[in-house]
Amino acid sequence: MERREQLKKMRKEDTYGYYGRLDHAREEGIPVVHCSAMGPAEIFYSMGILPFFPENYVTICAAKQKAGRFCEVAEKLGYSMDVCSYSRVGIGMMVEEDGPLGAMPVPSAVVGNTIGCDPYTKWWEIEARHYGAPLWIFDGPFNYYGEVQDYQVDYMARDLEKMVEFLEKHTGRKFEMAKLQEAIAYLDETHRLFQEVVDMRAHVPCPLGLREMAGELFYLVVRPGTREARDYYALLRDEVKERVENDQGILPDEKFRLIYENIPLWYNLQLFDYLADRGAVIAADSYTMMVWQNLYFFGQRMDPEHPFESVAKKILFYWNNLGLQTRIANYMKLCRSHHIDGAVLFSNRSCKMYSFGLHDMSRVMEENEIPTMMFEAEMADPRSFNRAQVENRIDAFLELLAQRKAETQ
Amino acid sequence: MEENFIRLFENRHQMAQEAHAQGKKIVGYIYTYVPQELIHAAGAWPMQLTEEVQAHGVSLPDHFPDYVCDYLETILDEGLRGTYDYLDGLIVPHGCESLRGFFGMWCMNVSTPFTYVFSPPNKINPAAQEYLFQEFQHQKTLLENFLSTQVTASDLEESIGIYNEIRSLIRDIYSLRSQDNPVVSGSEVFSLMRAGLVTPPEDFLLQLKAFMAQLSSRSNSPAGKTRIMVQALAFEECFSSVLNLVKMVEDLGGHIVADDLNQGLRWITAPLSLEGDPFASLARYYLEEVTGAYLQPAARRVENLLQAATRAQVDGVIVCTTKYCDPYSFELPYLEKAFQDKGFPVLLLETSLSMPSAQVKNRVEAFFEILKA
Repeated sequence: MERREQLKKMRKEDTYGYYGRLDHAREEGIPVVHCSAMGPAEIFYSMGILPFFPENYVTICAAKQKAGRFCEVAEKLGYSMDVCSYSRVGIGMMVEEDGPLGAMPVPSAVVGNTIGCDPYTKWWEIEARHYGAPLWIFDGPFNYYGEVQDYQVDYMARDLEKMVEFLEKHTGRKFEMAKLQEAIAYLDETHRLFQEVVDMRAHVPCPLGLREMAGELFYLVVRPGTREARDYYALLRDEVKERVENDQGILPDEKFRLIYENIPLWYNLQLFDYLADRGAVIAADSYTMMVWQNLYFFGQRMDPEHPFESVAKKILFYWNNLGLQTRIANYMKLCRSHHIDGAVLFSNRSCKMYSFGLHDMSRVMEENEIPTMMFEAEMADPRSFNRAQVENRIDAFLELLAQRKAETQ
Repeated sequence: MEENFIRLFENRHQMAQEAHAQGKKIVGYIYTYVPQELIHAAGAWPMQLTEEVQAHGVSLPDHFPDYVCDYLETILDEGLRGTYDYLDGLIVPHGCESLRGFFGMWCMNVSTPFTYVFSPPNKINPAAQEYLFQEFQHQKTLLENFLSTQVTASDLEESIGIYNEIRSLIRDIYSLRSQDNPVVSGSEVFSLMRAGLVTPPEDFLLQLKAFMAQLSSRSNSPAGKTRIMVQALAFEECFSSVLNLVKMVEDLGGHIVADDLNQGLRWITAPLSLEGDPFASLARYYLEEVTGAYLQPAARRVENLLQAATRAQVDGVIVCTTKYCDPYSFELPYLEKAFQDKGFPVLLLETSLSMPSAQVKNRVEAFFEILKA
């Protein structure tokens, strides 16, 4: 079977398999834990626990154009329109017992954290209250400078160990160190393979843009620590390698290479098609390259011999948890390595963590002769998105880039 | 004395500039998670940064988008304008995600010689206490290096002593405030607490002692009869030149007998008890006694509020939530229901600098009609 077909088949089977297992989890006695995208799912999977990611479910809801309705449900309950739209849609789905593929599964436990963002502590409290489920919020420090201290890693690792005790108590599943070490080994390989794909996007022409990469995140986000994730990215890496060797870009005629900052608009991934139709590929982005690659973007690795410390460090290096100056410096490195012509900065009203500092980022980029454009919207709530305005802005931006290219040639 | 406290607050920048010119080291901080005793023991004046509500004629380039609380936006704005040039240092806790972004923007745009950000733990257990102890040891080393000093155990004990005396006097004043026929009004308490944020602790202690002496000779009660609890994050949400909710309540015959201000009740609930190593005692205190919405479960915070409201025998609760404050916004439906289930009428106010105070006044008046009914 051709590799591309094989990738499509694997993704379809594994996605259906995952959601199928969730559907039957209750009758098969498999405990389900609701958690943020930070999981840590590799620990859950190693214990035979099925993690469910409400945020991920929200992205499917948004893609199916159903998010607005659930936002209204949450807002009628008194949740402000100004809070994260992932959480508003999630709360709406929870209360209505509905969603893009049916109601969310009832959890045996809920796991949040203090590291990602404000909703990662508060949204999960709301879930735990609603479902009557026990709640664990794992704790860790803000990694402003990208250099963690031993006492910080130690605190977090010990807290994760306590989380395991909590999970054993509330799911009935036993923790086995060998299984976690195996999961970490798979995850290490997974991340290293994914990093190869990240690095290969520097090739001119770009073999895969953000539009495609957004669809390739399923395994990193939903299935980390599994053999399937490792196998899938090995195949993806080979596919991208072949494209690079054949100078095969994702666009037939690549005119502009852009970098995109923030989360994709899940209800309007067609924005990337709009850019693609005009010869603009998103060759670099923090969402797929840094958020989910965390430690590996910085050339560090997880170590199965120290699994809890590894999981702690991985989480401490999530993009959201790094300081503005660290993020801007690494952003500029990406711009250079991936031959970037311009930047599209999404000021996401739903994600302060990701959006604060964009003006400073824009200033630094412009000082380094990388033009930027900014637009405002939310990643899951479509109601405030002004498509015409954003497309107009893109048109003007691409004209500017074209002019600059003409002047430098 | 209320006028004195108001003046202290209004002249804070001038006072700090004069102190700075005389060689005094000033370390700014935000919120009450920052160990003021440690900063003081290192020989610096810990001064809390507060929201600036006076409008400026010229607006500076935006750093924050509009979806940030006025509190941080105005503080950053003042930093960009040079208002805080007298600061030698700034310590910011990770008390919410906006604070993380604020710290980055401050570091990139404001030239404060020493800056540091840290995360207080969100759990209360031995591991968290050890972590906070290590964190405060790290801050001690940084402060010692920056200020070219050594912080000994007895230095810290002395500083803790001063702050404990402050806390004790404020607890006495809070107690006087919540009695029947109280001799001190909500306005007076708020103005003194706010002055305390921006005054060197030794000076504030003298002010407090003088105020207590004055109160001890008062016989009349300046307070209204309807007992109100205010829940808010910062003074500026409810007690500023832009919005004086406290005065609105008092003009309607109300009296603020309890509050949950981040700079008020939470900071003074208990003395910092010294048991053995003062650095360990410091960590234990800040872990167990000083928390906000982000760093503790809603259930614990709301239970504490309910107990405070019950102890103070409040007739109603006014909950102020700063627009774009996520940790508090998420908890609102739960908090409102919890209070209502216990029979406390609740008024929810979303506050911002751009909100017309007439709008707030209408809502507070309507709330008082319900309370009187």
